[in-house]
Amino acid sequence: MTVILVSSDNQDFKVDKEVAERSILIKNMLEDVGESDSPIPLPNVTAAVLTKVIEYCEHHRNDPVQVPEETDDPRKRSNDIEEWDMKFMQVDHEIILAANYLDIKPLLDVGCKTVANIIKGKTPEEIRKAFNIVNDFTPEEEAQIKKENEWAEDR
Amino acid sequence: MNEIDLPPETLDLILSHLSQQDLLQCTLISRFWNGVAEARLYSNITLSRWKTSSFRLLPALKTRKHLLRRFEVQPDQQFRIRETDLLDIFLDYRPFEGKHRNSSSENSYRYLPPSMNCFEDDTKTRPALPMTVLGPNRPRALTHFSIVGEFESGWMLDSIIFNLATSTLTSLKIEFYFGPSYQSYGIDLVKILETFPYLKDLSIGGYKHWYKPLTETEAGEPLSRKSAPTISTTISGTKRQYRLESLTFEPKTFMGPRGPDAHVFFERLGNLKRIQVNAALPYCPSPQDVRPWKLGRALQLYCPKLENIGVNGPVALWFFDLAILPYDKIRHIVSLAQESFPLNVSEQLGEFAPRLDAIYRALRLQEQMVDELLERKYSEPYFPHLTTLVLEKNHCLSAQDLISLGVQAPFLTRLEINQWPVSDEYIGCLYDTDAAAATAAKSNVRPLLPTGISEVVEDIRLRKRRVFSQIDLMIFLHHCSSLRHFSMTGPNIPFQEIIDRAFVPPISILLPAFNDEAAETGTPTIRSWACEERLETLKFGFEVSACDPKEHELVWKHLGRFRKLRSLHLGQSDLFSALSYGMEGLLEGEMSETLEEIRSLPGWWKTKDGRELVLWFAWSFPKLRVLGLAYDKWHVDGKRGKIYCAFLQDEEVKRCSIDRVFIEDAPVKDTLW
Repeated sequence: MTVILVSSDNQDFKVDKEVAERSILIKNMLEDVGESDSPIPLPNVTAAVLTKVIEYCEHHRNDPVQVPEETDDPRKRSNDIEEWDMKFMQVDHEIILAANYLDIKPLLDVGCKTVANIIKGKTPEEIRKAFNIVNDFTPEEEAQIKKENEWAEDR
Repeated sequence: MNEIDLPPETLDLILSHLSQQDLLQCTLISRFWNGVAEARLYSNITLSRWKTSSFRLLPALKTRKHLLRRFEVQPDQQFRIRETDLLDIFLDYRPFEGKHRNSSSENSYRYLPPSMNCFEDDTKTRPALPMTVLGPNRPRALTHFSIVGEFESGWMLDSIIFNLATSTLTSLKIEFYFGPSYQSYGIDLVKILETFPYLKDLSIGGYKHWYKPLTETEAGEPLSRKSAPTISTTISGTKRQYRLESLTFEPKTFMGPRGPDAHVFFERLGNLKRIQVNAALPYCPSPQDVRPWKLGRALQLYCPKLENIGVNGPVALWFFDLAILPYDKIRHIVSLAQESFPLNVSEQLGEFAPRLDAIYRALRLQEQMVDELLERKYSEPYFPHLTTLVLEKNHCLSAQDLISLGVQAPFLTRLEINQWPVSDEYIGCLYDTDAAAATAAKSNVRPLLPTGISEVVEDIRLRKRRVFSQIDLMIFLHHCSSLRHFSMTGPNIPFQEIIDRAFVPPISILLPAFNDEAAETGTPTIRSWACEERLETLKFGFEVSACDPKEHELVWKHLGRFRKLRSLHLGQSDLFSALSYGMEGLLEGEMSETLEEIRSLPGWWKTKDGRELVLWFAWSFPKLRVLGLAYDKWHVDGKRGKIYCAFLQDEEVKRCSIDRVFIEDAPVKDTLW
C-alpha cells in the first residue's frame, strides 16, 4: 500500500505506507483518517528536504522502533552515528527541522548528534561562523556572561 | 546555512550531546543560544568538595537560580557552605542593608522571626516567612532537591524546604552524617508529604535524624486545612493517598515502641512501589524493641502496589506472616518429636546415643517445617506483587522467608543477596510477640516432651526464624521459577549442596559413615533449578573438587541448561575452564544464541592455553562481547604473569568477535564459611 505526500512546493511523492509511517506525524494522520487515497499535505517541508527524508526512511524501513535510552555520559552519546547516517547528514541541516516536524525520532537524533559534533571543541566565534550566526551581545555583556559562568571551565 | 530559526527545544536537544565546557562556549554565541545553553548549564547543579567549581559557582547561582531543576549539595568539613548562601538561593533572602551585611552566619538568623524556627514549632502551622524576607526570584521549577552530609542547623533546613517556592518537587533526599551539628534533625514526614503534593521519591538517611511522632489526628486530617493542597486521588472510604512511589527510610522508627506508628504512616502511601530500608548504624536489638511483623503487615495492608524492596544493614523485615500455632495444631510435630531413635543406630552409638538422639529429632522437626513451608501451610505473603528484592550487607533474611519466597512469590524476577545474613542470635530470638500473646490466651495445655526437644518444639510453634543455610538457598532455587536475575555474592556453594541426593536420612549428615552406601549406589546429578527457562543473569560461586573432573563437567552442563542466559558471573568459583573438564557442557542448550557477557571466568590454572580459550569462546558464542578472566593477582603482577597474559596481545585474540577480553583480579577468597 502506498501513500502520497505533498511537499510545500506542491510536488507529489509516492511512498510505501510502511516507509511513510516512520514519521509518527504521518502515522497518526493515517490512523485518524483511516483508509483513504487522498494525498497528505506537508506544508512545512520542501521537496528537496522531503526527498532526503524519504531516502532516510527507505534506508531504515526495517529498523526496530527505537526505545529511547538515557545514557549517563552525554559526551559518549554523539559518537555512535552509523556510517551511512553520517554521510547522509553531511548534506543539509534543514533535515533536523523536518525531522522535528514529521516526528521521526531517530532522524532527529542523528541530526542533533551531527550538529553537536560540529560544535565540539570550537570557540564561540568558530561556531558563529559555522552556522552563520550574528553576535548580538555587546562586548560588556559578553565579558559579564563569561565571568559569571567561568565556574563551568572546571570539571 | 542558518540555524537561527531552530526552535529552542530542538537546539536544547543538540546541546544535550555536549560537555559542560562546550556548553560554556555556546552561552557566548548569541542571546538566543545563551538562553538555551544556560538553562542546560544550570539545570543540574551539584555542590560538593569533589567539584572544584563549587565555590566559584555560588555567586552565579544567585542570579541564575530560576534555572535550577535539580539541586544537590553535600556539605562537610572540606566543603562548608554558609547557610545564608543557601537561603539566598532558595528563599531569595537578602540580609538588611547596612551594618549587618558582613555578619557571620551565627548572627544572620536573627533576621528571621522566631516563627521560622520549626524545629521547636509545634508543627500545627506551616512556617511562613514574612514577605520582606522572601524574594520573588526563588527557583520555581525545581524538581529535585538533595542535601547529603553535615548541616549546622535543622531549623534552617526546614525554612528552606518548607518555603521552596515550588510545587513541582518530585524528588527529595535528606541525609545527615556525623558532623559539627549539636542536635539531630527532626523530620516531619507528614509535613513533607503535605508540602509537596507531587513528591514521588523521598529518601531519608544518615545517622543524625529522628522522626517526629505522628498521631492519629495529624495523619488523618491535613495539618492545616487552609494551606494543604488538594489531591485529586481521593478514594471514597479510604484516607487521602499521597503520590509517593519510592521511599527510603530507617526502619527503627516503625518497628520500635517509640516513634510513629507504621500503620498511621503507611495507610496513606497506597501508591508506593519501591521501598529501600536502611539501618545506618548496626545496633543490637532486643526482641522488645524490634517488631518486624508490624512493618510487614502495615505494608501488606496499605501498599498493595509494592514491587521493589531493598534492604541494607541489620533490618529485620519479614516477608511472610508465619502464624503462631496453638498446641492442638502441632500434634504431628509433637508426635514426630516423640518418635524413637532408630534402634540399630542406637546400638552402634552406645554412650553417645542420647545426645545424638536429640540432634536427630531436631533435624527431623526442621525438615517437617520446611515441608510445611513448601506446602504453603500457615504462611501468608506480605508482598504478593514483589518483583525485586535486593539484600545488601548485614541483612537478616531468614530461612523461612527465603523458602517461602521460592513458592509464594509468583512475580519475583530479581533476587540479589550480597552477603550471608547476620548471626542467628539476632534473627532466632524474634517472633511475633503480639500474636503469641493472643494465641496463648486461648491455647490449651502444653504437652510433655523429652528435655532438649521441648525447646525445639516451642521454637517451631512460635515460628521463630533462623538464618538460611546453603541447603535453604538450594531449596529456594529448586522452586522459584519466575527468576530472571539471580545474584549471590559471598562464599562459594560446595558441590555437595548442589547435587541432587536421593533421600538421605538426616542421621547420615551427623554420621557420614552411614552415607557411604548411598553414595556408592549412584552417580550424582545436579538437580535442575526452576528458573532454567527464564534466567538471564546469574552470579554464583561454585566450589568443586580440583581432583575430580566429573564434578566440573556436571557444573558446566548445569550452566549450559540456562537457555536464555545473557550474563554469567562466576564469582569466586574454582571451576576449571577447560574442555577436558567438560567446559563444552556450556553448549548443551541454546545459550550460545544469547550469552553476551562472561565475568570472572576462572583462569588461574597453569596448564591451559589462554589464547585457545578465548578463541573457543569467540567461536562458540557469537554474541559474546565481554570476557573477563579471573587470574590470581600474583600471576599477573609477578614474573610469571607475563607468560599467562601474553595471549591478550595475540593478533587473533585482538581480532576475534569479542570486543573486550581482559584480566580481572581474582577476588580474595571468602573464608568466612
